[in-house]
Amino acid sequence: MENEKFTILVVEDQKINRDILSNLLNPEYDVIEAENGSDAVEKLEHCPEITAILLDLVMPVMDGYQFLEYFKDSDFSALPLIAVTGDKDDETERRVLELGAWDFISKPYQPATLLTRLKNVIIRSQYYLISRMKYVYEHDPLTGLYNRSTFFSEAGKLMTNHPEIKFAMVRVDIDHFQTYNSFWGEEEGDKLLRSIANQLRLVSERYPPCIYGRINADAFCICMPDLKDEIGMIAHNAFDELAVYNKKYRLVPSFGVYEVEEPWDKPQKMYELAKLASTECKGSFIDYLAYYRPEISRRLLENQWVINEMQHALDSNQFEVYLQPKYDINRGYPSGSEALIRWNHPTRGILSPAMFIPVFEQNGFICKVDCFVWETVCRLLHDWIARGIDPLPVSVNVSRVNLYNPHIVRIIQNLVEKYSIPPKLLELEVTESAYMTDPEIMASVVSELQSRGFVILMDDFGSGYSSLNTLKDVSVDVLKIDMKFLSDTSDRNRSRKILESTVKLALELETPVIMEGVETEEQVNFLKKIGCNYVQGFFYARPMPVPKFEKLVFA
Amino acid sequence: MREKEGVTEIIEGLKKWGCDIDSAMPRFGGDESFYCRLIYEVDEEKGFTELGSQLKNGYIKESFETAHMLKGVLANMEITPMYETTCRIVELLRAGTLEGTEQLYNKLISDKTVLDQILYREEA
Repeated sequence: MENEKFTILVVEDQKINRDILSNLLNPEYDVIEAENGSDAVEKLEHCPEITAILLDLVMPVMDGYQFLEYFKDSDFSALPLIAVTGDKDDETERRVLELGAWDFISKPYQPATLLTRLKNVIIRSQYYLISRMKYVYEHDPLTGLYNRSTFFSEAGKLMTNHPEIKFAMVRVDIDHFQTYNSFWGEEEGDKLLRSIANQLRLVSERYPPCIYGRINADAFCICMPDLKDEIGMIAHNAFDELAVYNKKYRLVPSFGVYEVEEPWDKPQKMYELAKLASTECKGSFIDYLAYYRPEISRRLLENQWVINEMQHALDSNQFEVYLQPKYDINRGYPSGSEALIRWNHPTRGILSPAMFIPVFEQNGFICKVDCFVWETVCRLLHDWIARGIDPLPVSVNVSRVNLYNPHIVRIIQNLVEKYSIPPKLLELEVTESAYMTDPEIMASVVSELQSRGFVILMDDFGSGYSSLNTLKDVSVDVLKIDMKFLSDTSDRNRSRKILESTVKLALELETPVIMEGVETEEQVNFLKKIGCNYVQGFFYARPMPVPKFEKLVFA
Repeated sequence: MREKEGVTEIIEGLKKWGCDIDSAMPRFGGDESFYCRLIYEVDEEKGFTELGSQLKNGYIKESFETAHMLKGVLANMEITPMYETTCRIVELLRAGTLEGTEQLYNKLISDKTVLDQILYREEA
């Protein structure tokens, strides 16, 4: 309290007493005077520097008891208040203390006692303020749990103090919580978060020692003993409870668990690994608990490598177009080809599309790759024509992202015009899933492309759950079905019958069918039997570089 | 205009009257001049007149508040004879009765006259 002069509010109706008090207080304190409780309220509202209050009890207008009633529920209730009165009885003392006075002194003023008690309450209130500040600094205001930094700090201490226990970092969040917030409002969202916080408290009581906290938004974490069965049960119970939390909105948790191998490691790092694990559950209504495995990190690192390299790869011609021939199943010779992207990295060699296509689709780079493939194919077709070759059509993939591009038709049209090739030579493959997401937009784009002479192939037909609707509503020129339709099933006979009917239906609609992924002679014989027109697959030819394709097809 | 007594005389006079000035002084930082400045304010306190009026009209609540206020002031100033009388008035009023207050009030006013005599020089 040295070097700081605090301000005391003296609430006393009698001027003489105010003068006496001010004189007593002045060397050490600044004094603000109020004549009654009402005046005191106004002073409090306008004088934020007030540090403590000396309050007379018997006053006109608003007496001390009325002021105390107001004070205890006000914004100023944390200020220390000493009641001062000439009544020395226990009842008065009890009453004012119950109303929230910190101390009670009687008149006549005993200077030493008054000053000491005043000093004491000010010191106590500073400690209170500091401890309040500490609490606010360390805790999440919504749930009262440890906040992010406190959780990590305490989790580290927990693991250090219990070297005999193997711990697990268990992270939980709610899938699409932001959507829930938007639907039901922040108040409901906050209520849900508080409910989760309460569940964590219960878990912590059941499985000590543990530390838990709210990391951010809807992400919570608990550092607890690594008890696999119990963690599974916690996740299962949370899953069940959230499923019925809001009958009109299905809430799904995602639990990610990192089993601590090196307890001296940073808790933040452990949390990030638990978070990585939880990404395995995202979007699933069935998988809500995942343990971290090193492969997850490797995949993440791999994806990051792809992102770091992709633009340079495009600029430095590391991408190549391979062609996989399509065959007329009855005549046995090529009727066209599909253009497929390959990445020939200078140090890592040929990279599988499975490694980079999902990344490109997620980050939008697929649009640039698509355009690269289209232009390469257009250039190739032009070259063939220029060399006097009667070219077979080449189909290229149009990614879902590109279909949403309002200029897509113009882009493709410009390309064929630039290279002076008939549109029918550049066939466009669109997956059925693109139709399912936005059927009206897709139908409109397809229709416009067809009106300009392009041939549209529906790729992966049958992989969606409303294929008949798609067939009814969208006019396509060719259906492509993957042989996986037969292998990804427990009842192959049933699948065969459905496939046969689908091919028959397509033929009724005068829509040719290409079967992809054909790998065995048995498959070929079956396809011939059911009337399939064209095939594509390793049984006939793998995707190959253009020179090899030219040799195979045009020689 | 009445002439005020000197500080020393006032202090001596109050002590002789039975006021515990020694206990009061620490409250005023040992400043007798400051004490004397305030005691004149006590003497001029309207509450003494208001109390009489309130008691006469039977206003128990108002009388209690005024008497209580005077009690506090007199306690701080250690004007012991008047303080003791005021205490008795306060307790009667706290109990909700006016009985006996008139007599006590008369004593209080009589004591105030003594205070006047201590504070002001005798007129020639």
